[in-house]
Amino acid sequence: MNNAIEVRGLCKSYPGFKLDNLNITLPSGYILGFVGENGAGKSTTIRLLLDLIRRDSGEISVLGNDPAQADASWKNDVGVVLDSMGLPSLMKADMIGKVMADAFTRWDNEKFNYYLDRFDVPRDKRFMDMSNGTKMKLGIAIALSHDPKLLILDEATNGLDPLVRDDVNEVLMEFTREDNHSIFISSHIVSDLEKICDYIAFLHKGKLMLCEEKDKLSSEYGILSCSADDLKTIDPDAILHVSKNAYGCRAVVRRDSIPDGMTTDQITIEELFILMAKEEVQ
Amino acid sequence: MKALFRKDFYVITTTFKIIMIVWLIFPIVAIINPEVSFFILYIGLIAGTMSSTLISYEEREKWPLYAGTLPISRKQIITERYLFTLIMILLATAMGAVILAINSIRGYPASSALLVQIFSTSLIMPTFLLPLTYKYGVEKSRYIVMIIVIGFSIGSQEMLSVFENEKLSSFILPAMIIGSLALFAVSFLLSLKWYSEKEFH
Repeated sequence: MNNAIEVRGLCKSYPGFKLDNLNITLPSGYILGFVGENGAGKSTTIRLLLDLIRRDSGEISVLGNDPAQADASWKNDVGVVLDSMGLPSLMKADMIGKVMADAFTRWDNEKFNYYLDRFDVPRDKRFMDMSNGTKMKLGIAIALSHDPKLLILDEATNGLDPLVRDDVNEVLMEFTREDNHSIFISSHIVSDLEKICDYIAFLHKGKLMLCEEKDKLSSEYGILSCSADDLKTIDPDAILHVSKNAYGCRAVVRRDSIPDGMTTDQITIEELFILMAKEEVQ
Repeated sequence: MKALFRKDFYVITTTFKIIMIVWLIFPIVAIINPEVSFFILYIGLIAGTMSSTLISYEEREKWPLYAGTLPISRKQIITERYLFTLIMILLATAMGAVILAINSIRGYPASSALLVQIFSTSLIMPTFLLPLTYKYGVEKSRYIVMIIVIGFSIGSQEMLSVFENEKLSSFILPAMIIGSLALFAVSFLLSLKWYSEKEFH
């Protein structure tokens, strides 16, 4: 199996929203950052990957399984942290650990205790009394304690303070050092994704704007600031996105396709995200 | 499925403390008042509604969404919930049998009809409640439940008069057990169908 996740032509509609023809590939052993504004369809995509909701059309393969067809046991290989952790409010970490030990075939209680200590998750507090950040840390500890091959994280680090976030990012990097361990992570904190991801996918209003290797993004693309007339001289295929204001245009362009004499600025993933998420005027 | 049983056990022992206390106090009350069958029947009613109370907690805590990420199938989730319900009702029926035995030693008449009534009537509530809750959610199904409760109360009175007729009772008691179990099985299939179609957001 070469790809941890393969999504082809995935569509899902709700009143007022459409996830439109999504194509994403996460090769095994890599981290893919899934970026998009609120309501872009990130959580919908993750719920489709886990068969929590039904797709209208398209194909999904997660670790070689079609989530809608496969027996639930394939989820032994996947560690999941969702944006809201739905654990029973009066249960404590130890109780939750025992439930998970019964649920997962390869549950490692020693590892679970190690992560509870590392993330400073109290064992004597009920789930409802934990802060949102602590709930997320507990979720991450669970996701890492059953020997998964793939982590699917939906806004899992958003509620954490910068110190813990840094530690979690380190843990995620450690996770992918092992053979064929992959991570699919959605987050608003693009700077974190920039640090840890190998691939970046941008989702905007239900449509995939791009899915590229991170290093390619910064080396192949740049920001061109110019007038609207100058922009017309550029090959339209070289322009990924344009935002216009009273002073001119800011365009995300392929560096190798712009005319000589025009210079581009280095682009960060965050800038790329913000520019692409802004209303398109091309 | 063991994970789900364990989780339900933890939830009822941590969240339902008051219900559990009531459940343990009522047998004592039933022994003190041997002529009032309501107390014994109530033990069964609590057992029968426990599963739908669990679902309302789970919905509020977004457990179904999280459970969907675990290596547990939707069929296992429904099967566990129905087995859990059946175990609780059997436990209540056994509790009723012990109470009747104690009361019979004290010289009060013991009625096997009452045990059948505990089992069957306790099963009626979850039989209707579970599939409706899985289909429409806790809030919407609450109104339907109110109608069932009213119907159940009237029906229960009618049943008591039938049990007093011994000839009818010998036919109706086994029919009640078989009938309630058959309805429970249909309810399971409906819940399974509706839960399998459900989307978790």
